[in-house]
Amino acid sequence: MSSHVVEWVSVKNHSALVALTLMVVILATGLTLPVFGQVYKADSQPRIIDITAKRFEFTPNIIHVNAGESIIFRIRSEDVTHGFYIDGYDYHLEIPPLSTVEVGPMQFNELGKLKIRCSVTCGPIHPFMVAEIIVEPNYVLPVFLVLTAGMFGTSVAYIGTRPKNRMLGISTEKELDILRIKVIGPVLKKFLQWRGSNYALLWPNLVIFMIVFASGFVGNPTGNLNFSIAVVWILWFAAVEFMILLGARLWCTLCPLPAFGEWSTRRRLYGVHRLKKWFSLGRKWPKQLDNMWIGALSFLGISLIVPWLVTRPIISGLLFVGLVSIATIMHLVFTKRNFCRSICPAGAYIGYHSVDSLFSVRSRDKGTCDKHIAKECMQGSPNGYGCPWLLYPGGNNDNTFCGQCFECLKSCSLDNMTLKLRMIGKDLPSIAAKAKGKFDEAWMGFIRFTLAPLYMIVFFGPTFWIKDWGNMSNVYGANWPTIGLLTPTPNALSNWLGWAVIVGGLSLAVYPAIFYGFSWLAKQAVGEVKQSAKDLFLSFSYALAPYGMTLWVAFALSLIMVNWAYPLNALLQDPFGYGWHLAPIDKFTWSPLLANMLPYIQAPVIFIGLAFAVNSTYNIGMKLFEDHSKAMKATIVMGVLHFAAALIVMFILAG
Amino acid sequence: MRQGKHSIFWEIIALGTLILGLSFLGVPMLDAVLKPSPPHGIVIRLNIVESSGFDPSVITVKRGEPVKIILHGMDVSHSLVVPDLGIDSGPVEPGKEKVVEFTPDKAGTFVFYCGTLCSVKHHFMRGTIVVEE
Repeated sequence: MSSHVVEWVSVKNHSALVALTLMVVILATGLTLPVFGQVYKADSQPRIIDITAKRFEFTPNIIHVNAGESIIFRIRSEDVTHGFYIDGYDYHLEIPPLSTVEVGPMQFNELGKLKIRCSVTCGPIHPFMVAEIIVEPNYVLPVFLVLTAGMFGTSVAYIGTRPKNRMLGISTEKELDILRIKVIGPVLKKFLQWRGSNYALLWPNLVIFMIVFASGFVGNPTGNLNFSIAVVWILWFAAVEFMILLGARLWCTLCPLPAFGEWSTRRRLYGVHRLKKWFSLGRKWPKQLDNMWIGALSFLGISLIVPWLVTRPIISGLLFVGLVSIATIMHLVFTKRNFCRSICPAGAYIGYHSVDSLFSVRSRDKGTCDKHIAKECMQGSPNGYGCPWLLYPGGNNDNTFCGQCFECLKSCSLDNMTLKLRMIGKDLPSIAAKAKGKFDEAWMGFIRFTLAPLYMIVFFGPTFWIKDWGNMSNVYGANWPTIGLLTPTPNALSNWLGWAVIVGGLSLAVYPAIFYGFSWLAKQAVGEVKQSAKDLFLSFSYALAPYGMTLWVAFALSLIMVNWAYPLNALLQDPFGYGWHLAPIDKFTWSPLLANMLPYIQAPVIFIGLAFAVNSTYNIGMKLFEDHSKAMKATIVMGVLHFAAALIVMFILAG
Repeated sequence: MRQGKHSIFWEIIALGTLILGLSFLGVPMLDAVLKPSPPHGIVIRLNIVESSGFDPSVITVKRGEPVKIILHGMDVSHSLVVPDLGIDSGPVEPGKEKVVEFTPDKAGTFVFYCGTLCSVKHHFMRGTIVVEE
């Protein structure tokens, strides 16, 4: 094992080692910044700051205070009962309707940005009712900007040392055969080859989905007190980002949405039915739709209603009923997993980022598969179905459409299929180099990459109007009996159109246009190559797979660290928000975990993403041009765009 | 590991667990069992009037017998005020409970209402408590 590790991470080049060490220093500086940022000043006469709380905004929404200054907050609620909570300060204040509550005098000694959050459920958008305190002098922002520049500089310096087939010093060629690891390997293999393994893995999620349906329709209308919202849109949504990193499409293994259709077509829950004809019309899915377009656009479509989707149980309930219905019908018409490949909004983005996962299902030796006439992994065998995801697993080198159902592990009689652990970015350059015409995946990348910072602003930023436009100014939660409360006013609808134009315009047009501009510049910089600017545009867009993933990990961290109590209560105590106490323990009080530290955790995550983006672009460039200096030039041009994106995120986190 | 002769057996087991899994759709019906009922207490769920207001909005108790009302907040903060019986629960936060205990000493029908501004229809959030002899 230990010799393995040395082989994987060995950095032969001295300057590469220096660059990588500097990167680690930058990450550590980001993480430990609060320790240096403490400032104490002499006490002064308390200053009174008046704040009004109204669903779902604080006014003023950005408050500047000086470090050490003595502050009294005087908060007035203009409608229902609100709460007042400052990250890192243990005040859980309740502001009754139409009354004023004072807190203080208090001092802020940590520089930078702190969030004020509503801590008493005040309606559907309550978890996202946020204001900001900027403790001046805000050195955190310039330090973050300098660190971002440092990260960009060291990343470029690192690739300047000509790292071949490496991602930040770690080999992208080495793979670890997970099923051959001592003890774990054989046990895992035995489990995955057991026919009941898929069903056993899926069953708990089947139960969870039933509770999601039930709570979506008849549970508490208030989202954060309802399982369908708290567990799906706080816990699951955050967990999936980490699942992609560690397990690629692991969620697709566990997902019950297409299960009813798949079981029906197979007429089996457990075994392999060697049917000549499936219980299905057996139509062929149109070739021109066999891509990520519908999935990418349905992900964007969901984003257009996301302020409602993640706060109104009935919207989630209807979405999942809709997805199960479509998946089932599609199985009965097209037999295989065309829903998962081409329609599912989650499937699209999970697949897109999965190419950069640490995990993969691969054959041990492709030659064996190519020579093996039976091709059981495609055709099926008495022990397993042919690939439901319509791949040739034995020759597969791309995680995008591998749903990790592990049928190939069961069907292969040569014991040639296995699970592999590898470094992020192993397959990316070859996938990106073959990107010709794959606009669908490029746009999936743009949509995901644009929406991550936008969601940071919409959900955890202080700007109210954008939340309000997306939310159509609606103050009601809703389940099935109260769905009528969601009827929008014409004015709200026109605001929502504005929101749709912002979300759709930025992700479909503005960012892709900028990206194309940089691709054109990259083409000018590299000079004579056979690829057009459009080719570079498509190929280099794949650098957004790892970069976008880290942005979403940063977003997921704020989602779960602030709101962890809601899903835990829904899971353990009270799934429907009826006031049940299923577990014999107290309910968890909403209390953000290390929320004042969030920017210092998120920023280093973005730094890593930036380094991934630079290194991926270089690796893609090397694959395209097979020339260090051309790849380097292209990387610097595209890198400037990625650097700019990181700077924008730093403004969101600390500005 | 491999599919054996007993695959039909496993198919039936799987079907059984599938039905068990699907039955979780009915879990909300357990509310009737899990919700405390007299004599352990009367649960009143507090909703804005636009959804269902006080749920239930009419409760019946007996004069001279101790009453325990468990208030559960559903959406925003509410409270329960019964002026004729001198009861004011104070605000009940959503997702939390407050218990009101009293022994009615006079019979009759008394109005209760929400004492914490909760929506534009807050003033219509009312109910009645019937104290029987």
